Amino acid sequence: MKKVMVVDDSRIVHKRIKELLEGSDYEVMCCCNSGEEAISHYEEYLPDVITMDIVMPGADGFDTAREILNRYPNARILMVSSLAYDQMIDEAVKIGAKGFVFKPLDQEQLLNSLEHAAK
Amino acid sequence: MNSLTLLDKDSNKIDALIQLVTVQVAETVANVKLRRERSPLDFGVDMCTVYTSTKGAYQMRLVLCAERSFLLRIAEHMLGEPISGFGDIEEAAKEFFNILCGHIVGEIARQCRVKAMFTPPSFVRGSCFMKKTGKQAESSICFVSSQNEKLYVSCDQIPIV
Repeated sequence: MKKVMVVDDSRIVHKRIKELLEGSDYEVMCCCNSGEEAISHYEEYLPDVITMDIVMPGADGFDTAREILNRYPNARILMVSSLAYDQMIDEAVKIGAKGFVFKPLDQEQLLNSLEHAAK
Repeated sequence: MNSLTLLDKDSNKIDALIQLVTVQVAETVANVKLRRERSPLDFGVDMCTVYTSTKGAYQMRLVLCAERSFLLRIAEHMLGEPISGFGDIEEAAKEFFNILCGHIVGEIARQCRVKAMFTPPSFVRGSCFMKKTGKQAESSICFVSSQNEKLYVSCDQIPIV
């Protein structure tokens, strides 16, 4: 079972991702409400993949992803956002994210993206 | 297109965009059917407001003001269970609005080739109308749901000097 860390300030998203991963090879083992929380918990959980919201209070998803990848270059991060346009996707690729999942979340898209990111 | 005068020059386009995106997001995220209402609406007293502003190539304020019954219904749908308190309504309203704004800002980016993000949405009980400064263009669209719940989505653009 692969471990997923969910970083999103909405517990509705935490719940939704848990539901979408039920019965799959992925399990949510940690939910963080902010980028700061994710940075401080990364080493404790060492997730296989992180799903990272972009719009969050405090450090946004891009800043958080940059910081995690700076400290842990092997981290695998999937950006998750409703802000789905080319420049955002380019930015995600530029900082080293493994993919981009659009909100509202769709099970097939999420599982395919997780599989790609976890390779 | 000059992003700083997006609304001045293309208010009809912005109206159409907000209408299309709001109807689509409501149906996809909350299974709620909305139709645009062009005649003045008599809003109830039990209203809630979610708002944000963009940052980046242009500065725009975005507001969703809705009757609580509408937000209660989308909260139950998004949570997949009966709500346990007002916090659930706030949580769902913010996430719903987050998705709505992402799609609006994303569509503006595609059409105008301008990059922007938005701040995390804030929630207040009551209706919250934008204060006009006389310098910004404004677009405001009213909607009615199939269960006669009323809401409106507004945006204005403050020119960046």
